[in-house]
Parts: sequence; C-alpha cells; structure tokens
Amino acid sequence: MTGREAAARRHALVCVAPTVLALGALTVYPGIWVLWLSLQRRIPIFDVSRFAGFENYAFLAVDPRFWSAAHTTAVFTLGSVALEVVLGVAAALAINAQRRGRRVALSLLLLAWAMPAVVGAKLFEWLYHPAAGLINVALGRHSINWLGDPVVALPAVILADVWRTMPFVAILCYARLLAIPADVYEAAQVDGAGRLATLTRITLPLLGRILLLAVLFRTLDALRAFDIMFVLTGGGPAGTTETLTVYAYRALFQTLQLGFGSAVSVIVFALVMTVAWAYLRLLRTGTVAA
Amino acid sequence: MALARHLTSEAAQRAIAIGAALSPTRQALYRDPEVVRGHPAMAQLQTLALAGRPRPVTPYYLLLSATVQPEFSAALVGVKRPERAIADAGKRLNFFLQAIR
Repeated sequence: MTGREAAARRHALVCVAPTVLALGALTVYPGIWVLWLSLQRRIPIFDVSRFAGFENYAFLAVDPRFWSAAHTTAVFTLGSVALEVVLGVAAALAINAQRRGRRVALSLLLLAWAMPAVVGAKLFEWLYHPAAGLINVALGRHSINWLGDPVVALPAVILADVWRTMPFVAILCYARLLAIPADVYEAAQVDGAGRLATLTRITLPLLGRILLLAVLFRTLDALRAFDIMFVLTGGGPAGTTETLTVYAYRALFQTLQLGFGSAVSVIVFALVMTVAWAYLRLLRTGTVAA
Repeated sequence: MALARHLTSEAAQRAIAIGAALSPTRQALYRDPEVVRGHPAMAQLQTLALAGRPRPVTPYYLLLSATVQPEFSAALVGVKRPERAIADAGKRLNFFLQAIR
C-alpha cells in the first residue's frame, strides 16, 4: 500500500466513524441488551432479576395469546399489503392515464401518506364511531360496531392502514410509469396489442421490480405495525387485533415483564429480518426482470 | 367553584344522565322518573355503584388485570369458551407468578 492509499484509507475511516458510532450506540447496543434481557426473568416492581435461559421462549411456544397475536400479525400484513398493491397500482395507472389534474390527484394522495399515523388513526376512530360515525350514518343507521365487533375489527383496522399507506405504493409505481418510454407502447400498438395485452405484457412486467421494493417496505412496516391498532382498538376486542408488537408493548410496559416482553420483541426482530433477507435475495437474483 | 357547583347540580346531573348515559353523582337521580324513563337500568346501577370498592392497593393489580381482562372479554363476546379463557389466563398467571414466588 502506498502512502497515498493509506492516507485515503484513514480518511475513509474517519468519515465512516460517526455513522458507525451512532449506529452502535443507538442500534447495536440496545439490540444486544434486549437479547440479553430476553434470557432473564426481570420484573422490577417485584425486585425479580435472574438468568432464566430460554424459559421465556419456551413459554411463548405454548402461549395461546402469543400465537393469536402472531396469527393477527400475519393476517394484517397479508391483507393490508395485498390491498395496498392492488389499489396502489390501480391509482398509479389511473393518474397516468389522466390528462388533467395529475398534480391535484398526487397532492391528495400525498396528503394521506404524509399524515402522522396517530392522526390518521384518530380520523378513522371518528369515522368508525358506532353512534356518530360518518360510515354508520351513511349506511343508514345499520349501526355496525366497527371496532367493537371481534369479526369486523381487524378488517376495519386493515382498511384504515390501507387508506394511509396505499399512496406510497401508488407514487412509487407512478414514478416508474413516467419512466417507461413511449416508443415501447407505440411498438406494441403497431404489433396490434390491445389495452389488456399492453397492461399485462408491458406495463405490469416493467413495474415488477419497483413493486417488489414497495412490497418489501410495506411488509416490513406492516409486520411492525403498532400505532394504528394501538389508537383504534388497543388490541381489543378480546385481543382480536392484538399484533406481536402490541403484545410486546403490553408485556413490557403494562405488566412490566421486562424479560418476557423482550423475548416477544426479539421474535418480532427475527421475523422482520428473515422477511427482509428473503426479499433482498429475491431482488438480487433478479427473478423479476425490469 | 361556580362551574363545579353547576356541574354537580341536580339539573346538570339529570341532563348528563339522560343525554350521555353517565351515572349521576346524586343518589336521588337513580330513582328520578325522567332519568329512569330513558335508562330503565339506572336502579340496578345504583345498587352496583353502592357495592363498589376501590381497587386493592397491590403491585399485583396491573399484572392480574392486564392478563385476565382480554380473556374475560374473549369469553364475553364468544371468541373463546369460558373454560378455555380461564385456563389460558391461569396458565399465563402461573408463569408470571412462578417468577415472583
């Protein structure tokens, strides 16, 4: 290594150091601490603090509430991401086909996306209100207890989430649509492709890669979703909207089981990392051409 | 002071009981004909209110309540059978308490 290379290397290390330090202090250190906590029984108000090995995890394996929360998380993630992709692509295509008012449509979409999750959730809390909510009034007083009925509560929460996050998918897709050159469509027209063929043979395949990216982000967010159900239902009725993160919060801060709650968080972390890894592999292998 | 006097007055408490179905703070109102006409269960509510006791002052309260409440709720709305709900709550409580003992 020449002196110049060594200097460049030192310079690079100095430049990277702040990021490494910040990530270490804010991510790695707390992460390892949570992992360590999850191997303990620790309940500060009772002065309990002892090493317990995998006791917390062993209990989680047979804990019905944990499995119910895992099931709710899976349904919420699949339902909301699927709806968001379908509606997002539809919205992007609709805006792209529009001649006028694109800006207004985009601003309206962004408005929903830019709204803080808690504000959006509060909005839906009023829309869903069993007596005074706009939805029930519009339904002509066929009063449905949207957030209080164990059967409709989860779909209602999913719908609120889709409203807020569908614009994310729509805007990503719209940006990709703008980048598709017009000659591709002209060539298709010359070859006699109809509207449906153009959509399924050209537009959707070209959207593939960006959609995969959007789905990755949305899946990771949905797996960690907390604010929307916390505000709308608090995990109720009867725990039917309790996701893993809400369960972890309850264990950690409502019953102050620091060890047990950490074990739930570690599982959420492992789940999110696995999904992220799988998607990234899919992106890298390039099975979806773009 | 004037606001407190107004809100606790018989007229205001009657309006709150009829309009918002909140339990009045004046006992006489539980038998008030106008209130009972709108909310026939008021008389039973009075019995309940009089039988009420403050929460026990114990560090276990939060743990018990947070563990048992969702199970009772599940049994009430029919998501779980009552036996199952009690068994599930018992299992969790045992796990938590075994650490404390």
